[in-house]
Amino acid sequence: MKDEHETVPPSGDELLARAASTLRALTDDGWVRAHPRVLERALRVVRPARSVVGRHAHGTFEVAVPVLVTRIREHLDDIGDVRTLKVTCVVDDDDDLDSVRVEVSVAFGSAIAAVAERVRTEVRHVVAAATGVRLDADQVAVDLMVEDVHRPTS
Amino acid sequence: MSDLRHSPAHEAEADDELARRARLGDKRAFADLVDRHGPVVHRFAARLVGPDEADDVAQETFVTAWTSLDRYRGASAFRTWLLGIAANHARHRLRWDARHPRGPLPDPDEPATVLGAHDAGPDRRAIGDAFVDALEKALDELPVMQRACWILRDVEGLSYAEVAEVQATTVTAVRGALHRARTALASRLEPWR
Repeated sequence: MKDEHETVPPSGDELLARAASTLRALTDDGWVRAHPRVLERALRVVRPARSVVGRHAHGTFEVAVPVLVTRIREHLDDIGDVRTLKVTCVVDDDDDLDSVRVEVSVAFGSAIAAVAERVRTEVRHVVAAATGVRLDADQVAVDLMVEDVHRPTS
Repeated sequence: MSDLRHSPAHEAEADDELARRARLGDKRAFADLVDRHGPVVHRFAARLVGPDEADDVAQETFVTAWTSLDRYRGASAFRTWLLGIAANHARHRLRWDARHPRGPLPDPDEPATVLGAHDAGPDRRAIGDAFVDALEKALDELPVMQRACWILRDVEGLSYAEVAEVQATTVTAVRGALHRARTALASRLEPWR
């Protein structure tokens, strides 16, 4: 039962270390087999969320808040030096979009006022394109955090 | 020279960045998180509930993570947060299986709920080592809490505090369980000394 290459019997600690390293070395066949199904299933699950009312010439429609958040994030990702931390859509009792609060971080040295204005403009543009709702400038709040080190998002 | 890109701190930062993007609906970022942590989640689940149910526990874990990312605040490592979810699902499944036995009723004096973890076919055959057989049998015979603590601490390298978080218990309880697990494993693996 003993490893024929061993000349000195392992201590209890060495034995447990060997046991742990043996388990770490086991191939992940089970995971490799399960992986595609696990990922596909997880991403198919819809996150519970409210919708906001969109408007167009022929009536109204609903846009799930996560869809709107994703659109906003995608557009803000295109702005250099901005990292989106959080997007909160405030929806009233009638499911109308009341306001949007965006938390972003910018690298130290960025022109803060200009970045905030760019973010505000982008958010208003995205909301209008996705829902037909035109927000006033004061309906988009931008909270800025300045970071020493700003790592790239990709 | 050490590679800083793979340091624990850098890995944690990368996880936080992916989690931030996934929280904002970036499915590619979430897929990256699944790729990074799927193996450890699945391995941990397999040791707790057995290989047959590990797929389900892993799936439930990532479904919960995807729908609950808003609750991940970065206070703990993303891996710890995920393993905590996995441990919850595994405990739930073990309780359910205990109440709904599929075969003969288990002997209440048995040391732990064993669901065939040592029958891990392809994984074990790939190693082809009798030591693995003995190790897996010894692990199966440990109570679930001891088994989980040993896997998380000695195999996956979590800190005591992280193990306590995953197991929803105290560091003191983890130290006790770990001590008992190590003693029992060393005793059961004595023939391999």
